[in-house]
Parts: sequence; C-alpha cells; structure tokens
Amino acid sequence: MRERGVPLRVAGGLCALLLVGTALFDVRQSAASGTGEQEKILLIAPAAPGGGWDTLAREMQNGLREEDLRFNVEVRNAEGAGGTIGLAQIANREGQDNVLSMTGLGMVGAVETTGSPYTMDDVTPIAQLASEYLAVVVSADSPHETLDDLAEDWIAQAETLPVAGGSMGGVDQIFAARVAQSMGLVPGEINYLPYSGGGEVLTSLLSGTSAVGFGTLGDFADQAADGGPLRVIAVSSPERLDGVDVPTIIEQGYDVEMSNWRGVIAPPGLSDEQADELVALVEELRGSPSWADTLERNRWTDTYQDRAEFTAFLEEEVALTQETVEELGL
Amino acid sequence: METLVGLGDGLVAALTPGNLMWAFLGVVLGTAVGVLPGLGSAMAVALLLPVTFRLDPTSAFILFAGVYYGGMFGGATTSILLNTPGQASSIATTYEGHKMALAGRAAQALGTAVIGSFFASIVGTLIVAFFSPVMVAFALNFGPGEYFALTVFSFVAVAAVVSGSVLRGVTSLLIGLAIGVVGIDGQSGAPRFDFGSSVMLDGINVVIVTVGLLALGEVLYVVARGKSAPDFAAIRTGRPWLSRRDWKRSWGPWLRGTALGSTFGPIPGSGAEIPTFVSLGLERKLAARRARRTGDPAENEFGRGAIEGVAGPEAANNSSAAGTLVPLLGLGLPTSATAAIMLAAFQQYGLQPGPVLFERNAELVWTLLASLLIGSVLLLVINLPFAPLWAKLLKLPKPYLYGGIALFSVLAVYAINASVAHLVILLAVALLGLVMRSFGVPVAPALIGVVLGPIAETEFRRALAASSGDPAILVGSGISIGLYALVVVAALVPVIAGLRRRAAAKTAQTDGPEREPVS
Repeated sequence: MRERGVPLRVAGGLCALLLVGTALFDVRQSAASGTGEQEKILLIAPAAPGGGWDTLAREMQNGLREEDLRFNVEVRNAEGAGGTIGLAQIANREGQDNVLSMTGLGMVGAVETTGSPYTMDDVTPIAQLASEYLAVVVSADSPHETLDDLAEDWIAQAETLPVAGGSMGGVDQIFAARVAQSMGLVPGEINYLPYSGGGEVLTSLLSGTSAVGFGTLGDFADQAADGGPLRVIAVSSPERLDGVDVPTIIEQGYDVEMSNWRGVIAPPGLSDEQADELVALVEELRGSPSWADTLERNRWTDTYQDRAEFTAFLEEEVALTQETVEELGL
Repeated sequence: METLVGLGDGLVAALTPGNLMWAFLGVVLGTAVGVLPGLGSAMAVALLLPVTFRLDPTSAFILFAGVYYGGMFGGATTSILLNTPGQASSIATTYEGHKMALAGRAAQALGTAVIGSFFASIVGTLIVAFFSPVMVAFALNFGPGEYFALTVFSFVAVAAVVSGSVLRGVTSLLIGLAIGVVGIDGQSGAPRFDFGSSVMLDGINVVIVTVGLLALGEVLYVVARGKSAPDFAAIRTGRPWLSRRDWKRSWGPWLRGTALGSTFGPIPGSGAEIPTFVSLGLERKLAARRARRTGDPAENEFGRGAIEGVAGPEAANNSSAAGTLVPLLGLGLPTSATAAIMLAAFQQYGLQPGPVLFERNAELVWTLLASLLIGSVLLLVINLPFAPLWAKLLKLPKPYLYGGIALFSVLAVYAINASVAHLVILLAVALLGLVMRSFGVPVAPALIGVVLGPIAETEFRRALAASSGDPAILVGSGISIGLYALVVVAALVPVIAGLRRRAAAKTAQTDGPEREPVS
C-alpha cells in the first residue's frame, strides 16, 4: 500500500507543479488587465509548432491578450499536407464566427498540388496581415553576382544545374519556377532539390551541393551580412527594401514580383456582419503597438489588406498559382 | 583561457535565485514533455515563446535550456519502464532498457540513463563551447552523398539488433521500410500509399509506429494470450542503486556514446536517432567480443537486458542534443524543430547566430552555455532520486499496468495532432504488432526501417539529382569512402572470424562448446 502510494504522490506532485507553473502566467496576464472581452477565439495554425503559420498564430494570441482584445485565445496546430489539413478543419466549421485560421501562399499552392477536396472558395477571407519577401541566394564564393550571370549558366545547363529550396509545391518552388520562366527556361525541367526548410537550403549551398538557393529573405539575411558565407543576388519585392542593399528582380530585367504573404481566413457561411466583426478585431490588433513589435521581431513587412482587397487579391493569387503549378507539372 | 573566463562570467550571470527558479521550471517542464510520448520539446518551447517576450535574455535562455535538455532526460523513463519511447531518439534505449526492467533492474537502467545523460550533456556542452568553429567546418562537408554513406553505416551498425532468424528480421525491416514510404514523396511531390486520405499525406508519424508496435502491440499480445501469458507479477524491483559492477560497465558506453553524439549531432539534419542506433550496435559488438575473449558469457547480457545498451544510447542522444547547438550558434542553422524555435527566441534578444556570433554577442552566448550546464546539474539532482521511485511503478498489478499503458498510448498519439484518424492508424499498427509477435517476427528492425529508411531514400535521391544521375557522387569524398570502408570492415570481421573458428574447429575437433553462431 505504502509503496504504491509513493509514485502516485510523486506523479501528483509533478502535475500540480506543472499546473501551478503554467497557471501563474495566465494569472499574471489576466490580472494585469481587469475588464475586457471574455469571448473565446480559436486560432488554427495549419502547421507544426515553429513554422511561419504557427508563429503568426502565437503572435496573434499574444497580441490579442496584451491589447485586451480577447483573453481566451487558443492556438491549435493542425499540421499536414502543406496546410490543407488545417483548411479542411476551418471549412468544416460552417457558421462559427469565433474561429480563424492562418493562411498564405503556401496553402494556395498546396491546394493545387495535394488535390485537396477543399479550396480557398470554401472559406471566408478576412484579411492579409504581413508578408515576407523572397530572395535568390548563392554562396559567397559563387561566380554569380547578378541574375544575368545566373541566367547565362542556368540556360546553358537547364536540366542539370542543382537549385535548392523548400518542399515540393511550396512557396520556394513556385518562386524558383517563376524566376526560371522569366529567364526563358521551362519550369518543369529545372533540377530543383527540395529541402525541408531555409536552414537546410543554407547547408546545401555551403556544402556545394546546390548552386543557387530560393527562399525567404529572412532565413538568409544574417548569413548574407558582411563577411557571412552567403550572398543575396536578388529580392522579390516591388521596390528595394529598407536596409537591404540588394537590387530587385524587376530592376535586373526579369519580370517576377512575389511575396510569401500570410493572412487569416474564417469558416464559410458567415453573415457579412459576423465577418466584419472579425475584420474589425484583426484591424484593431494590427493597429496596436504590440503588433508593431511583432512585425519588427519577425522582420515581416506590413501588407495589410481588408476583406474586400484580400478577397480580390486571393483570387488573383489562386489563378497565378494554378498556372505555375501546371507549368511545373505537379 | 579566454573561453574559461567567458564561461565563468556566464555562470556568474546565470546563477541568481530568480534564474535558478526559471531553470527549475524549465527542467520540470522538459522532463514532463520528454516522459509523455507525443509531446515533443518543440511543442513546449513553442508554448513558452510568448512567455519569454517578457523575460530578460538570461532567464529566457535558462528556461529554454532546461526544457531542451529535460526532454532528452525524460525520454528514457517510459522507454525503460513501459517499452514506450517518448521520442525517436529514445527508441534505441527500449531494446535493452525494457528487458532490464523486466529482469528487475529498472532502477539501475534509469540510473545509468540519468547519469549518462548528465555526463554527456556536460561534456557535449563543453565541446560546443571550445570547438564550435572546427565542428561547423566539419559539418559542412556533409552533402547528400556523405549523408547516404552515414545512413548505410547506421543500418549496418544496428544490424546486430536483428538477432535470431535472418528471414524474420529482414521481413520486419521491410515492413518498417514500407511504412516509411507512406505519404508525399518529398523529392517528386507524388503521394504514395495514401489510400486517397489527406491524413496519410504526411506519412505515418514515428511516434504512432513506435507506440503502436511496442506498447499497444504488446498489450494486445498479452491480452490475446490470456491465462497462458507469463506472470509478470513476479517482477522484482531489486536494489535501487547502481552497484560497483554497474558503474564499471557503464562508464565505457557513456564515453563512447558521448563521443558518437558529439560527432554526429552537429551534422545538419541527422537528428539524434542515428548516433543512438550506432551506439547500441557498437556496445553490442564490444560486449560480444568481451564475452568471447574472456570466455565468460555473463559479459554479454545483450538480449537479456544489458546495462551497456542503455548507457550508450542515452549518452549519445544527450550529447547529440548539445551538438545541435553547434550549427545553431555557428551558422544560425537550426537542425531540429526545437532549435528552430529557440533561434527565433535568440533573434528577438539581438543575438544573431552566425560566424561572428562569439565576437559580437560573447556575453549572451556564454550565458546560454552556462545555462545549459546549470540545467544539466539540476536535471541530475531532480531525476536521480526519482529512478527508484519510477521503478516501483512496475509493482502495480499487471491488469492495471497494462490498462494504464493502453490509455497512455492512446493519449500520446491523440496529443500529436488531436486527430481521430491518427488513433485509427494507431490501432492498425498495434494489430500489426500483435500479428508480428504471434508469428515471432521481431519488431525492432521495423522501427529501424521506419526511422532510417526515409532518411536514406531522401539523401540517395538528392545526391543523384544534384549530380544529374552520376553515381560517382556517392563515393565522391574522403568521408563517404571512409564510412563505406568501415561498413566493409564491420561486415567482414564476423565472417572472417567465423571462418577461422570453423577452420580451427576442423583441425581440433574437440572444442564443441566454443562454437558460436555468426551474428
């Protein structure tokens, strides 16, 4: 009897400690605020912890609490299939006006490549929040200084030159395809090596496995700084970015402008009123000082679009992505 | 010398009562998520990230350090007691660890795991502190060709785990490889064996396979045999502490495991599993050789619960966790999900990982490394006294224990993604485990196939894609050639030894008992 009690007591003690520890933070957060909105809101991050959508969801959670907009904010990870598992979850919550899912170009691409039964037509677009621009990078000792240098070599060895980027059908590959296309190459024929993230692309470049990398600028900015092992040769923004001394792709004579944008979507079947309420909530968050911190902390560019703008933008992106995915033959 | 001064300053900065409190919270949380399968340290760190926005850098680093190392300490507990690894890096521990528990040596297994983890964390962290730049340079030599050689090497190293019938072992390995193939093919984007379900597109999670095959499969098997099942009620928990002999047998594996983990940990993408399997294979080979040389079969307890098979892999996974910090700090390159989130946290404190980190942010880096040392000490202090207590869990009457394992398994899998589809897959895998056990097919090789198969496939195809189909890339560097040479040696030595023994047996036909099966 005694012996069975000991591990139980220990386990109980551990659980209690854990609960108290985590509760302490909730208490701190609630106590600091007094009155406020008690309505629950669920944020779906259609990716594993640590990814871009997860970060966006947790930043929103943090911001909504800090700005006293909502206290009861839950983040739920629904990872898988490029975000379409999360898309299915939100599409199945018809009429629920307290759920938001993160979305972005990656999800638009995944809808096309995974054959998802749900598409962006099955949800209510709410707003675009932020963007990250993309970059073409090479290792610091590469002979390629500009896109023209790269184009020359790439056209000469269209099917063999190894280029690295994120997973198949993701934002990076769509980016690589568009750059290749602008150089007159056939996107479906390039030798694209998919990696699981910016970090692995970096190693691939440094170990000499691949000649060029395509990815999010933020993933490479630190390594491309003075004396770093990488060099960024072009960025995908419409104009030069503050603090980034690199010419855009358009400036170098190639017609590619794109961003890895992120936004939020709500379930289908909402009335205009319900949707506008969610837009108002997001807009309030976006105007807050803590959101300014968020943008700076993550090096995101504020590309806010309200519901009408975002809906139109989404349509364009879907059409454009469909075209690229078809070219890629995915 | 400069390094020592830096580390000293870091320790001074980190050792305040407030910071110790954060360290304590971190290690408790880390141990908890490590113990619970399905909850990885990545999840814990992601949850804590918003909390750290309000903390000063030192406290935040200490908290993360505790969670990060705690996860690696905790993983061994359920592997040993319940045969249910908390994460992929603890799979290797289950093979001998659970057998030790069944033999009444659970406390010793837990003890050697905790002390080994502590030793490896300390040594691993110090190696990071002193040799980071050299190791970054080494790690960058690993392209896909070298990587593939490394996986081949691991396969051969763990082949020793496949004992008994070769046919059954290979069958099991192929089952594992087949499970590993499910999901979207990363290289071409084509879905494989998804049965039209979007849940299967990401493949079958390793946690589901391990929990299903090892834990739930075992429960079903015991239930299926009913009264004819061996009576486990007789498990003794034995003496709580490590005996002198245990110490003597543990320190070698600790050292070797630490060396393996420190070598493989910094290589981007390799994860902590490869060194644990290599360590297990190595210890097994060494034990067999010891037994042969001394002629004392008691020297080789592998298959019956060898302490070396716990000490080695546990040291390896902890030093590999420390090694992961090398590319993280030296290149800003996260090689695990946890590391990726920690990187995000570092950046908000103005710590810019990269080649000039040690010059630009010396103070913060030393604080971080000192935090890791403090976290390791706390983990030892907290975990060691618990070893005999945890071990008593096995004294529960068997029906309750197995009921608990079943509940625990289902919860663990549900925790991954709150998905009912995962539970269905779990049940299917558990039934597979039951069938395999009924036909005497070992499940260990299947797990190895699931873990190593996809890595080998990806790297092989990536290598060939990078070289446009020229297979010369596979043997294109000294590292790969060296690894293949080791593979050949490892494969030939037992064969030659066997032939020699046979020849010796022929000339002097008297030594019957000396004959051993060629492993």
